[in-house]
Amino acid sequence: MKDMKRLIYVPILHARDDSRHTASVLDGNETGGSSGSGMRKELTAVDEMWEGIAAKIGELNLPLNRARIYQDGLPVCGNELEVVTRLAESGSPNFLFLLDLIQKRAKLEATEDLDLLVREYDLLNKLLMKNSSKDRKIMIAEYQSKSRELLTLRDEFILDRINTTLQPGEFPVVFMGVMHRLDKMLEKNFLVSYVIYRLPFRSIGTIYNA
Amino acid sequence: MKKKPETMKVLLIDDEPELLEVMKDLLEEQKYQLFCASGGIRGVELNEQQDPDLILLDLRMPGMDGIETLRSIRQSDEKVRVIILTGYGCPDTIRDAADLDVSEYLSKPFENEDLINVIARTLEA
Repeated sequence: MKDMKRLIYVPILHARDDSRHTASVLDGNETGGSSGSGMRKELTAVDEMWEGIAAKIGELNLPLNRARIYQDGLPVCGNELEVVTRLAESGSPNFLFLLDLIQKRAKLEATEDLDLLVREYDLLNKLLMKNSSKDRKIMIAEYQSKSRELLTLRDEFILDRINTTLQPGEFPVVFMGVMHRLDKMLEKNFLVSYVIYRLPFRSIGTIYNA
Repeated sequence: MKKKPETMKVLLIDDEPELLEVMKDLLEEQKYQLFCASGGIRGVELNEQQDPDLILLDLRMPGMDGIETLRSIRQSDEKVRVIILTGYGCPDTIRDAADLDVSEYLSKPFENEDLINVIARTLEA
């Protein structure tokens, strides 16, 4: 039997502000985070999820100097480390954790196709702008259907990134939204180890988690 | 107004007797009214009889597994809040659970304190 490489797969939930923040960092128009008690609860839930992920990954004692990180929503843009640093500075626990791994010598890899991300972002924005509750269910169903198609294209792109950028002796650490089906594609070539602790669905909502 | 734990009903569905015992002690210490089922079919029955505020559900059980159990519960009860507790998480089951409107997904082993916090927050929501 062929020796399969180990791959660490971390399913994550995105905070509502994540995609807006990433987009604003990329186009240079950074915005502040949202406020309000609902948002604070959501942010606490997200912080706790990342604390759990960090603890679980810590327990694995991975040789991080041989790890290559692939992050959901991080486009191939030439300044990936700057994007991660700025999102970490804005307080994102996801990107703070990536920065911590990078400081421990893990390598950061550009992961996603920028055009596909922009299409996903536009789709989500259209949904969020529609306020009529009458149309909302139809809009959500439409969004989910189109988003699924985009998600497949994004997963295919990410799979190709992993296969073409991983160097001999390295192993991938993949942080990916729960609605991606990339793990099914990866199982053909990798021994996938899942790292899961908490996923606070109701605190965050799945609509933001394509 | 925030409800007191003693007015809150929690249904625990898990096939591991040791875990049922530990959880029973832990949740009764917190003053929740606790009901236990050691399998999915009994869990569905108890949900109908007791109308709990919250279900703690194991995913891997012989016979009717956690996802089937939840699917069956959701046919008649869209409102009950559900926390999934599992030692065998993978994105497939996570996606199934998300489609069935779970509040939270927590992997075993977990710290008692984490579980208590998750339960309190879920019941407050």
